[in-house]
Amino acid sequence: MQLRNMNTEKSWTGRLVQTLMSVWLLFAVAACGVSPVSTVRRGALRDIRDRDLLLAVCGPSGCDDAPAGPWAPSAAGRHPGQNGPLTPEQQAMAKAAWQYFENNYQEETGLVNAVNEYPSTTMWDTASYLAALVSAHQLGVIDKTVFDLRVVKAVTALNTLSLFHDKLPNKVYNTKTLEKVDYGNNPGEIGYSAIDIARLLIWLSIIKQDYPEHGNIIDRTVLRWNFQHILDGPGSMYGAGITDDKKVEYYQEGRLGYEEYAAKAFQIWGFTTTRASKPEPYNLVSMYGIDIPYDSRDPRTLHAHNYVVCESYILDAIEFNWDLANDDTSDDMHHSDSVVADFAQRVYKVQEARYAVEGILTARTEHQLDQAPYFIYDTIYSDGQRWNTLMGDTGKSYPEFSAVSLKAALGLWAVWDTEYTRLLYAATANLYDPKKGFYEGLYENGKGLIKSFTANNNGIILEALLYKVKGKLHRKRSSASLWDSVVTDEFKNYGHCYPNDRNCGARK
Amino acid sequence: MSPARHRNLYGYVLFLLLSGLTIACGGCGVAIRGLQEGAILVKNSEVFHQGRHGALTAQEQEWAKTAWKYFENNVGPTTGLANSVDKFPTATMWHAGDYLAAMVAARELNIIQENEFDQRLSTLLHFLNTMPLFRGKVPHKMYHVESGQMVDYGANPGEIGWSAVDLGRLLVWLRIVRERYPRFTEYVDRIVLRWDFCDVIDSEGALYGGVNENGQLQKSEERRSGYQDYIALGFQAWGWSTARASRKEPYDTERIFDIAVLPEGRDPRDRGKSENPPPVVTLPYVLDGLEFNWDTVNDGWSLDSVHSDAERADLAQRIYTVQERRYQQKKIFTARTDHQTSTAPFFVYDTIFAAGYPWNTMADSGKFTPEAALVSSRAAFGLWALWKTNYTDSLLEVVSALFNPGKGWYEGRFELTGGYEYAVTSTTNAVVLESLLYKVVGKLYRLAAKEGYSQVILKDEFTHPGKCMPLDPMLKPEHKSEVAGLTPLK
Repeated sequence: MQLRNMNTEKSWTGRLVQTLMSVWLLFAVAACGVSPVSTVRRGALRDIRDRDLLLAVCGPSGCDDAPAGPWAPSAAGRHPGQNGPLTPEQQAMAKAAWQYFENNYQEETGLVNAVNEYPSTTMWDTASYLAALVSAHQLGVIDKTVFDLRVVKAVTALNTLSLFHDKLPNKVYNTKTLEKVDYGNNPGEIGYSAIDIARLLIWLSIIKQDYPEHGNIIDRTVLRWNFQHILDGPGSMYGAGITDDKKVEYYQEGRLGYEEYAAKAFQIWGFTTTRASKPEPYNLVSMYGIDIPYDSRDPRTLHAHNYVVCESYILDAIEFNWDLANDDTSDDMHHSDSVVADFAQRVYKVQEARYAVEGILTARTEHQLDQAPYFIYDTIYSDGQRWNTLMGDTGKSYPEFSAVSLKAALGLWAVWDTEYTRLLYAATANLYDPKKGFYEGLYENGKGLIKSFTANNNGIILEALLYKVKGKLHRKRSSASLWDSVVTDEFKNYGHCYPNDRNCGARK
Repeated sequence: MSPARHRNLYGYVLFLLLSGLTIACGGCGVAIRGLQEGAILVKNSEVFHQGRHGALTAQEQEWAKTAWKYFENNVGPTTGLANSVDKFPTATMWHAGDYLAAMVAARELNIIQENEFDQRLSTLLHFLNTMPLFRGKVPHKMYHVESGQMVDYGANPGEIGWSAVDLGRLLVWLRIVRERYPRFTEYVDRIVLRWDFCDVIDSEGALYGGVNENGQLQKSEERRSGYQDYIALGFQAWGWSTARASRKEPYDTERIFDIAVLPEGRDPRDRGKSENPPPVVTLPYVLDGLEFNWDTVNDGWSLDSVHSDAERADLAQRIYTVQERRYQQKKIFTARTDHQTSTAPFFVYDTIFAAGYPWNTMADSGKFTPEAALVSSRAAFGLWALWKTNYTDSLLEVVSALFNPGKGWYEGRFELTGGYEYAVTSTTNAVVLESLLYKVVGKLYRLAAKEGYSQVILKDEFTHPGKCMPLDPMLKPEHKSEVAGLTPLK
């Protein structure tokens, strides 16, 4: 017996649509040379498979060598999404977001609380603080005096805090005392997170590139660390934790999206991340006819969830323009990391499609809550379920805490200039308290604002605004570098497993 | 005319050409023997049949006898019901369906003689015509095989509800028996006419199960992917419309090895605590193939190589292909369906897709139990009968020794270890028999095209018993006003 109707899309109607699409493709390719293709028609979402869509808009060889993606502005923009100076309204947004960091600044240590009035932070949130600092300065919210003093104090803190096993920053620190703490802010070491450290590495590098005057102290910070366990030979990243019987346990860290983004951080500092940078292993799940890639490492056996959220894809756009980590030359309308550019596009499209089909405004990522369990992964897909909202450690579902995350909404707006992101912007741009900063989000079920204020939310909103003004934030500039001089000297590059350390046979 | 039908025409022409050619070329005894073999080859080929067709080999006959052994060992003398699991004296209506299937197969494969068949069937029909009903209306979920009492899962007396899925399979087999053996038509019809279907099926054609907890009846729509399509056929065969139960929507498209399978698309968080998202398993598609040849229920004449419901045939083909492809790509023998286990949790959904994961194996509680994954004997036999491929040849080799001649066929072989799952069940042995019978006779559901007792009763509005039987005016959408005291507007 032959396979009948195995591919329903290969029916004659499917063929007709395909033929029409290819005609459009020809037109689009022809049009590419003349003017950027305008945004994709929303009504077509249900009928057209996304691959055809990308093909039609980007040209037959994908988006990497096309002059413009569907996210390109119709006006002559230099980079995808929003372009141009801030409007007075956006200037006020930047000021409000910065207010969070004024309120939560700890004079004694130079660090900032991750959550309003709670004296604790992680390396990820500290990176968001550095992002806020750079953005506030470059957007004219603070002047160079404030900026310099704050950078020196923050980097000093990083340079003096006690490391986990004397190797790498602990997962959490008390922002008042600089002590290593657990998530309940009780003193003690609990391990480190490769992803958090990676984001800090990105922002240390951005400051080093944009403000070479601070390069020296930044390099000292990173040189202090020991990279023996965080990367292995084949280039996977590892986090560390403490088991119940007080033993150190190293586990592969990072799932699709976050993993590739974090790997770029190590790459810009010269490390090799072969395996972490590969999108594999992944599977596809079809949502509204769009294939969404998700990490196929099994959450039932590995106790790490495979969240699909926008955060890493937005940050990868804002900070790297979806380019390969060390691509500092390509035009910002090209994305030399074509896989991430494609995946990001799908993650955007599916949220737009959910709004188009269901009428639910959607911008999903991890976020804080103003009630127990206080932190939630609000996903597009995770652990086998579409639109799953779940708790990190238990994996328990909390659909009632689904929300439009403000950093996700404004991040999507910054990177995609479409009818849908303009709607997201209109829904979220005013949701701030000028005295406290931006609220964390807006519950999907209509139960109002998430009345929490966080460094990550306000930091990402600030960098999204900065992206509008200047595009890709991480650009390497050549200047003398202590880090480079140590790493390239085989006698100095010893004992810390820096890149190319020939004696680091015992990696992981 | 469908393309498939065209292919059959080509088949006829090919056959005529071939025979003409043979006669023209030979004309002696050798040629005639060649012609006979050729004719048998063509007669049994996929030009006329789906999957395997032909007489049973001696070994296959032995396999059938082994499967029948289960029913020799496990029938209660007064009820005529067969145990659901070896030596465990309870049975659901699903298992009554199993036993009817096994009985028909044993008779037609000449394992039992007419006299024994008649006795076994009549005892069971008598019980079904007299057994106590849940709240006096529908067959209860479970009966004690010795006493005939309504019992709970622990075999203690009690009324726990009914299952539309179980009822569906019994309706399928009552109908097959009725059509195959016209002398029993009246007695079979009386069984069905005795029941009240008002809680089971509604005017939209949705099917409901009921759970009785502390006197509280909870009715819920039974939507178990795949099974739902199959059980709907049982209701359709008796004349009901199952519009809503037969609808595929809502479904999700999950691609596994580039084959799209379509599990139900309801958000699993929207269902009750005890409910699991409907699993995608092999058995319902196999039963549909063996019994209905993926035809519409009123298609009593088309060749087995033609499937008059192309959509169901296509879904079944996907179920087969995705398992074959798993073997081709991962080298894991795969024939998965929900099955019994001999230790707790005693029953698992061993699936192609369930609760968000491909190749998920889980208990009813949702607990992940990969160690219970099997190459299921019943799934392997069903796939072997319906798809004549190298893959099903090797699948059958994997399970071909999984029996005890004194007990019947075991449930399967563990995927992770190669060990045996020693549970012996009514469904596995019934499906083995069904598969072997299918090889000999093809599609099991054949229409007799004669008016029977129930048609006479149902077509006359004065003898129609109501009770939401087919043609019951009560099944039409109601226009009764909800507000007391108001008469509906004309």
